[in-house]
Amino acid sequence: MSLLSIQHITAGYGIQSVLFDVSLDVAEGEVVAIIGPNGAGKTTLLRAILGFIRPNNGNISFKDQSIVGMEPEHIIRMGLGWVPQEESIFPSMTVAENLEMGAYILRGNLNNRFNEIYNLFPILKERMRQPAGSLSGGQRQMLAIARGLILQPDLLLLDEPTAGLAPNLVQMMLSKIKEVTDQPQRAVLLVTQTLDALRLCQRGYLLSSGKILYADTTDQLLSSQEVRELYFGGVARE
Amino acid sequence: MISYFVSFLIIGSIYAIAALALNLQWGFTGLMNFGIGAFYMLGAYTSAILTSGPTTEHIGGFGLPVVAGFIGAALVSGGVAFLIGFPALRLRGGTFAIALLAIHETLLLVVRNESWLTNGVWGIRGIPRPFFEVVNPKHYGYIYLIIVGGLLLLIYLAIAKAVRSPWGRILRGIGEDEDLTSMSGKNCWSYKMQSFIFGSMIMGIAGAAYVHYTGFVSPQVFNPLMSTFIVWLMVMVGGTGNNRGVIAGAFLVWAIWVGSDFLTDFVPAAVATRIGFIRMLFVGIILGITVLTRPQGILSGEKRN
Repeated sequence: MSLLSIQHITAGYGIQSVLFDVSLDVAEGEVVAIIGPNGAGKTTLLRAILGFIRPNNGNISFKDQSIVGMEPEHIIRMGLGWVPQEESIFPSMTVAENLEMGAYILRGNLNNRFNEIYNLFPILKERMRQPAGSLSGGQRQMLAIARGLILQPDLLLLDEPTAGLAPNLVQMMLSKIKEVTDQPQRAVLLVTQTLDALRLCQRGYLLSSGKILYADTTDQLLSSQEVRELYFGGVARE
Repeated sequence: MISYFVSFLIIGSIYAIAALALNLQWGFTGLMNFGIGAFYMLGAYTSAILTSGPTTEHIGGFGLPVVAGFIGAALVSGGVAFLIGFPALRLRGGTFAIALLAIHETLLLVVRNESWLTNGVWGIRGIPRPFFEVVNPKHYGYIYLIIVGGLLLLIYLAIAKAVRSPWGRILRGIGEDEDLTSMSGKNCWSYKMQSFIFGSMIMGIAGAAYVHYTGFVSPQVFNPLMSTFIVWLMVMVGGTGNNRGVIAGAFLVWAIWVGSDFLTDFVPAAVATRIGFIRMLFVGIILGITVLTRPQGILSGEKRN
């Protein structure tokens, strides 16, 4: 069953369309990639899903309910999580406060939820009283992902989680993302420009100039010479 | 000289109250309110109309207690903020600021021209001063300083507590990143509205505090320079997002403003007559120095509180 279904949307900013006739599906528990060059419209697509941008045409449904025109805070309550690209933390707040910002709509005792998060990201527990602005780039990104996970979303939208990280941190971050994607009940829509991140996914869509050029399994995408040459610089498959 | 200093502290405290209100809206919530003067003026006129004695010059003259004037000022400023907020809070950043500036100018025209309501450019006289009858008029400044100082302390404590609460954390979140804050499942628009109303009520209280000190109100007081932009200067110099900082900023900017009056004795007569413009130069220099050397304000090292 399709958890998220995007049907023929056209969307953009003002009169300027960025996405053209984009269709995409994510099933329950599935890990799907959106790849494509800079300026392809990947982030715009996520913002349209989240309700920050209203599509001019087409429909977006989540859990079989149309979410077009809904406010972002309502869409989040339906079970969508979002980790925006880079610096998506509140720097003046402590690590714990940042997590609480993600958990406002939860009721009851939150300790178990926080402990689960701290088990996944132990460094955040060590730094919980520290202002988030004082964290390193990798720790900030972990905090951003942790905040996105605290509501236990059925579908997590991850926007280039390894962008801007030092090379030695990218592998660590990918292993953390793999822990997230390995949870069978959670679907993930991962925007990425790296091959390693693409390999964490079962399927992928290639977005270019606002249009879906390819939609296939990861293996097929990786074996496509055109995809590899155009978007990953012809990197050989190991 | 002492009474001059007391008067300086009283007006400085009133400005500090307005600066705290702007800090709530701008420093924490990121609302660029360029219409402070509008809410300050609404509070001032509301309290003046409610508390002044019977008159045929304009509506009102209800002779209500001063406390009722303060409450009325807060309610009217907050109510108007609520009505303005519906269209204006759909705008962001600079456009919100310009809309508020336009609203201030519009309300100023209403106050100047609707004589039946405000007595127009002649203003409202005979506004009661609390406890004026029970003390020697020579010492009245001390009494009012205690009143306005207590009000400032109360408002500081209320805002400091509010911004530390989960409610305040949402406001701070909106100020830092509104989209990210909406991911907490909270309706950011509603929180911005609450911050706008709460801050505007405090600006209204500052207006009431002003008229009950001077006993007179006229539209001249509410020009954008003296009722809006000077408060912005106080917040920027003091430290945006730092409550103690903006109080310090309010007194510092006000000290420079009134202090320049003393210069008239030491400068040639041709310059003395232009001191009003020179003080603007001083304040501009102070802002420039602050922005260049301490962009976070004079109390930048302090924790947000």
